[in-house]
Amino acid sequence: MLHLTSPAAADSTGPKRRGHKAQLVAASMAVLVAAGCSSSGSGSKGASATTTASGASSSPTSAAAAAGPATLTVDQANSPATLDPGLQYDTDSYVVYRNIFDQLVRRDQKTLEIVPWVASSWTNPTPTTWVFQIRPGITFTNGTPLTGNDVAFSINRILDKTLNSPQYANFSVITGATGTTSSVTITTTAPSPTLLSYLTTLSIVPQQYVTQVGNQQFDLHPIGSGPYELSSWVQGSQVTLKANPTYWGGKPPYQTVDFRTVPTAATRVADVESGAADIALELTPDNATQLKGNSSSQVIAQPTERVAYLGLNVLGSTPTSSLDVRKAIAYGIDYQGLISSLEQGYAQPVKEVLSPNVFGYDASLSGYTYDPTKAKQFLAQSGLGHPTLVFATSPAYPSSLVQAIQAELQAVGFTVTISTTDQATYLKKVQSPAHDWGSIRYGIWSCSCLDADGVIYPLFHTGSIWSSYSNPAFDTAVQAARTSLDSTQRLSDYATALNILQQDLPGIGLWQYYAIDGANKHISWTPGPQETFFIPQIKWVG
Amino acid sequence: MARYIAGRLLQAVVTLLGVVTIIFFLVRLSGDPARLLAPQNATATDIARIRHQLGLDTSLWSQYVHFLSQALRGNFGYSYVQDQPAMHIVLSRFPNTVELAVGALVVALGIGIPAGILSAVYRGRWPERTLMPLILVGQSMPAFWSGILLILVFSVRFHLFPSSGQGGLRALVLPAITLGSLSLATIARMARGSFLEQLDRDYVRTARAKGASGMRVMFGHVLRNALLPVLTITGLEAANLLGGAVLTEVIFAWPGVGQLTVQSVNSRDFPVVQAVVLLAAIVYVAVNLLVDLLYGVVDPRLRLTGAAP
Repeated sequence: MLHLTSPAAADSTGPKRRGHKAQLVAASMAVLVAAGCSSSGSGSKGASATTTASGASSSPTSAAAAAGPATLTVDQANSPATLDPGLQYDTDSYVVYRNIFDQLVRRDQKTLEIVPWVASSWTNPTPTTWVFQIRPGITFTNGTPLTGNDVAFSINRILDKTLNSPQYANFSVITGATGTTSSVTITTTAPSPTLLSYLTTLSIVPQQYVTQVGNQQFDLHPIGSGPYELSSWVQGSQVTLKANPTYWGGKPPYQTVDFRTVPTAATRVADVESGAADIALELTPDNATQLKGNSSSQVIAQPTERVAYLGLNVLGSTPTSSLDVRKAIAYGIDYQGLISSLEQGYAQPVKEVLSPNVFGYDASLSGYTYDPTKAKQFLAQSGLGHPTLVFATSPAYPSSLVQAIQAELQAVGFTVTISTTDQATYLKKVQSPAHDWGSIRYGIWSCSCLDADGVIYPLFHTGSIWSSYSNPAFDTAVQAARTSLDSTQRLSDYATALNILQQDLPGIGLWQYYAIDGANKHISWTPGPQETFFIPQIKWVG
Repeated sequence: MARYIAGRLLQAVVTLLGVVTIIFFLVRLSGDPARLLAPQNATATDIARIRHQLGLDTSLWSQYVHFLSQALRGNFGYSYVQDQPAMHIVLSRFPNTVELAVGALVVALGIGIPAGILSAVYRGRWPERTLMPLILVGQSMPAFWSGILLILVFSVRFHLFPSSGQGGLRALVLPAITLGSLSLATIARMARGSFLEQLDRDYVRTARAKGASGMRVMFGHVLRNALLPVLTITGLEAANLLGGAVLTEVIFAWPGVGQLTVQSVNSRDFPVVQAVVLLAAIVYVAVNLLVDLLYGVVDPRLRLTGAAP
């Protein structure tokens, strides 16, 4: 994946933002994940729960666009790397291919509950067994009916290590899936409270077709059962989808949808302003300010499940191995000031390394607020004088933010040197078990699962590639929460874990990240905290 | 002449081998694609598995031998990211880069040479004093700034040209101007200098003395002589442009080789990087060879000696 671009995307477990990038300015580099519907934690209601389709919220949206244009034009920062859902998990591929394929379950945009989609209902007869009933009457665009066998195939394909699927880690808890015409049974190695969440990211591919044409052909000529089908694909430039006239969820709102690759954010803004594009994805706060001055456009900004944070190196031979130093850092940052200036208000403060909409977020924690006096006190208490902190970063992260934090920490008595390397080298350093990457790093994290498990486990569990921290009590709590279907118990485990993090400070939550997109003023669309991009939900009004 | 060409081709093969060897080892020193390919919640085991499947866990030397043996068979590997043949991906972008390069050259030559001639003929007078500073301004503006400026004025404000993307002549105008303005200054200055030098020559004085008109002196005598250095510069500019124009392509969302280069370097997509560099080297060598051969057309003296100056 081309991580060229967006700074945000660099470390997250959901679909990865690339971006680099623009990187290349971009490139692909990029950090966050945006992704779509995935999900979890809140959906876990305990063993043997049964969920069935009910009410309007769970039925497919019938696209309701008023007399909009025949073609919807969407600008994105990078081109999709592949359109085979098993092969790719970056944001730019994800927003496109999820309209070609259906998902087993989805998350309701408003309630964030997991609701039926291709699965009409499900049960978990044992803590490690899940049985999904498949909605009858769904067909792929080649006329083949969608069955439980296709669902099982889609899962087992990702688990097949020879496919090298980037989604493997999301489903690695699954031991296997077996299908019948009308159902699919999934077994897991342990009770998995986030299984349903991750299943919202699963796109269902046609077993017969994939087997027949092979992975390479399937990638170039994907066939799904979603509201759109591939019309043409000029790699690196444009993907055009056309409406699936027989879509089971109702007539899609636009006859065709063009996804264009426009790496420069300023150009994406210009495209919306000039009417060349209807939607521009992945804009910056500066872009938003520019777009606000244009009467034919609008800014669509909203909080996501992504959290911006600082990772502190506790295990390495660096000043941040001292708790007093870590506390001095936490008190030395003017969170609200950074939100107002650099993020231009497009962010919300957090009390921990979690977004408030994520299952497990503990609003009762005090967190850390800006207090330079306390920062200086803790620094003096550390006995290290004016220690030098190394701020490890890469072009995938906004240098303005890194420099602002550097200035604030220097104001309370630290010396901060910024060590910038390219993203590949940065990852190699930060993920090294030697923990010699420096003192501080900035990142934005999302698991696309709305569950603390997908955030604090990979960031802080002993031995995780991102963790430079180890605390057996924390490990025990997050491990227990990861293997329990009892949401009350899980909340309690996370409260314990987050309390430990608040004390030990291996990371500092900066803010809840906002997604900023630009659109024609006639567009009515709410991406939701998971930034889903389902075309039938994008309406044309006025 | 045939021997000359054969010698140049042999040189080209050695050059290309050197280039692919350097780029092969260089990219492998620059970071691990497996880490970039792995999802962020991957474990160290997952990353090791990806590295194994990409064949990156064998020794550098054996990877190199494998690469060369496959390359000789025309197989440049599969893109780690797109899972398609690397050279196929690069070649599919190449026509777009050619289109943009041709557009930029038309702008650069179409404006640069007349501007250079005018500046030489009217040396020290208002045409030169107006043109050369304007050209300098055009060259001094970085593409990311002039490109956005052109978009804001001609796309957003006046809706004259598309703001981005490829498709038809209209879409080519703004990127070609943005990219061409850089080469334009070089070519205009070279043309000006070259014409000034020729205008002082004895043969020009002789031509004038025998009563040739100003137009005849310029186009009948001076032009061919003065164009030689311009041709050299144009060849180098063309070779550069055909290697892909990163900034212009990124700003205008032009799906050329430049964008692909940046993306593949950032994702450490080794096979694509290698294919891009190899193709760029082939183009560079070929264009230079072509320019050398063109010298003979422009200046018959060089044809007789069979060597480029």
